[in-house]
Amino acid sequence: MRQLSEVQLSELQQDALAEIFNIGVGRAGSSLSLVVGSQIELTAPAISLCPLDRIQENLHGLEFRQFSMVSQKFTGDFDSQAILIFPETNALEIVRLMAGAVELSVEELSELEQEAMCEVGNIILNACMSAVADLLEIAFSGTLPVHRFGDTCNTFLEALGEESGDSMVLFLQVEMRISQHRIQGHIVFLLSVTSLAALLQCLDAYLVKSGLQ
Amino acid sequence: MNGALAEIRRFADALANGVIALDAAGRVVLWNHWLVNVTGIRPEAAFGQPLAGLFPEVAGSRLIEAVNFAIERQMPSLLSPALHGTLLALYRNDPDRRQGTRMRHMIHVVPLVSLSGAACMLQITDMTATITREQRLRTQAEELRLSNLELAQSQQRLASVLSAAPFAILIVGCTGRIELCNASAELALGYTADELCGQSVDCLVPHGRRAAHALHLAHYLQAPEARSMGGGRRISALRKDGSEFIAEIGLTPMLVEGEQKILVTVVDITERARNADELERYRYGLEQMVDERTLEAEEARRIAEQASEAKSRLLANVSHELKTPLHAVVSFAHLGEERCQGETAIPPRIAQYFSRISESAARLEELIHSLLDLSALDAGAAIFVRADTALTPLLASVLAGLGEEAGRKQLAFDTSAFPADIHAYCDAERIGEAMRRILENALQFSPPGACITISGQYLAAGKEIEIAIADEGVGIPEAELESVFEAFVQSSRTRTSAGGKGLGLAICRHIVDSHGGRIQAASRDGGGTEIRFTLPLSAASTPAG
Repeated sequence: MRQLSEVQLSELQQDALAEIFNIGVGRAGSSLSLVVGSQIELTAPAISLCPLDRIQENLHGLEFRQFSMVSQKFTGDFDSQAILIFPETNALEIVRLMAGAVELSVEELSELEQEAMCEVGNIILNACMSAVADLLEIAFSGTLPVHRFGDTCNTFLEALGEESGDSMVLFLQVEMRISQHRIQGHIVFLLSVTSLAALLQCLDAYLVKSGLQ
Repeated sequence: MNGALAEIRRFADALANGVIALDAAGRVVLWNHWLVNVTGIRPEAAFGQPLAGLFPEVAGSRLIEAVNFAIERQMPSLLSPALHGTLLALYRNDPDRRQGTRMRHMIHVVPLVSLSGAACMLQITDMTATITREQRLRTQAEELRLSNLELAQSQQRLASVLSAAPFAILIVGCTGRIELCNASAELALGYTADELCGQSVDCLVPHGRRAAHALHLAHYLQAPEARSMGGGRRISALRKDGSEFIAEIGLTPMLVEGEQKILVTVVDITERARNADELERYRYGLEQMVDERTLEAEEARRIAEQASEAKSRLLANVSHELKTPLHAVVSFAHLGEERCQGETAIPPRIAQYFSRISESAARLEELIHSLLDLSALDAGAAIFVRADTALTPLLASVLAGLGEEAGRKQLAFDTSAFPADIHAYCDAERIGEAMRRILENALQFSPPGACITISGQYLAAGKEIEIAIADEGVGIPEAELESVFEAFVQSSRTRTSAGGKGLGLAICRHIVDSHGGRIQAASRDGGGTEIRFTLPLSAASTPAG
């Protein structure tokens, strides 16, 4: 199974996944708009797959130092740890912009920043996973979201908990537009090798069913 | 109602959170006691109602979406008070919902799988206490951050001051332990900061001085004051490598958190001390040299004085010894002359002889007089009686005395350029003598029919008059203008032809010098000599025009 870490997505797989996640984040956008009462647009312009030990390079390449991240575990036809990652300054910005419609002072808001980030992450991650579930016709159940601060290395090791080994990472870049602001973040799906195989299997089945493959 | 749900209701009633369970259609199947308290809605009234029926404000909201999500897709959700403010109309301790502020709360929406007809559970948490606590914590954290920042800044400042100081600084505790040192200290003492800190200052004291140092330290701590160590004596400090250097050590007591500490500054003054020593050696050498030279000079002066004195004495003696026989010669010559007068028996030749003897004796007498004069001046024995003196009558009397000889040589005096009514502060007799001698020279060396000009002019300073006596004689060569004022020196031009004793100008110089004036000789353009001398003016004499 070791060679799976060398797995590359076919162009078709990559397109299909990107489309599925775009539907997911699109839904998330409308959910967030519902919360805030103003238009929030979410897009997932890029997707890539890499081994876990390379993710740090990817994140470091973006020159983030401190991260705010929300993670949820999903179990079902395949298991995954989904993590939404924003640079900490971006996270605060999101919460401030979103809370603009709520009658809360900035001070109060920062007091509840963690919960707020949890909810934002929760909405986005749930939307993504439900899009996957809907389109691939599979089922998941998830845990409640957990929020963490930290730099990449520590946060990832913590997030992994007991899970380790040859995990693969589905790396999704997301862009959030609130009012005039454009905020970048990442969604990361941590998949065991088995789970990745199961995901790809489901994806292929979907493609076959859709007559695309 | 089945038994399992009843069990769960009892359990939920005991909770300090709100718990709502909804069935697959979104209708309430569980409504715990906590909710009764904050909504005023009894469980019986809630059962079977959709959430939006109980709380009209949530219709179409994110909460309903989250509930649907949980029921349809088994996805849990969290609704934060940060983004929603208040979700449900909950009033703490005010179930009638009439007044007071709405309670801020967080709702977890959790999907339930096959639990006695329930499909979703809402757990409602009062966030009031959490928010307050968090607020407090954040305030504290901010305060802590600020004070840490301040501390760090002040430490930074202190550290930069310490490390920038160009001399070693140590902070020593009352037990004599070094607690802090700066970079210069590391450099000067050869230790690293880690090695120094915690050590006793003894490690910097030369071995022989340690016992004494311990005593001094104890003594210092009894009455700490800012001063330099060693009470003016030179003290040495020990480096790590065992070498010593001369140090200037400053002590400043300071209280840090009630504890006595000493701020010690150490400056390596080896170089300075060496320079001071060198300077001291030079100074000593110089003093000795000066002493030696002074002794030598004094000896030379003494010898010269002795010689001069001997010369003067000799001159005086010789003159005196010469005068006695000369008197006899003069007297007998006079006698002889007198006898010859009217005596036709004696041949005129004899009278002529006596006359020659008499003349020569007079010259000799004059010479001896001059010699005596000079030796008296030389020995400082001459007494000057200075007084306010009118120069014009003085000059007139001198000229009158010389009139006969001038007439003989057909010489004229020109005093038209001599200011009238001029007064000098001088010894009239001596100055008259000086004028006479200069004029005698002029008469002697002037060709017949010449004119001797005597003029006077005030010098710019207005405190002196310069008297110039000019003749039309042979003049003095340039090289001899100065030496003519020495005794027995005559100008090479006059030595052979006109004769003379070479004493006149030497005497003049003595006289003028004694008056604080200057005398000098110059050759005139077109021949002749000019002797100029200055005299201090009397206070009464004002420059005329």
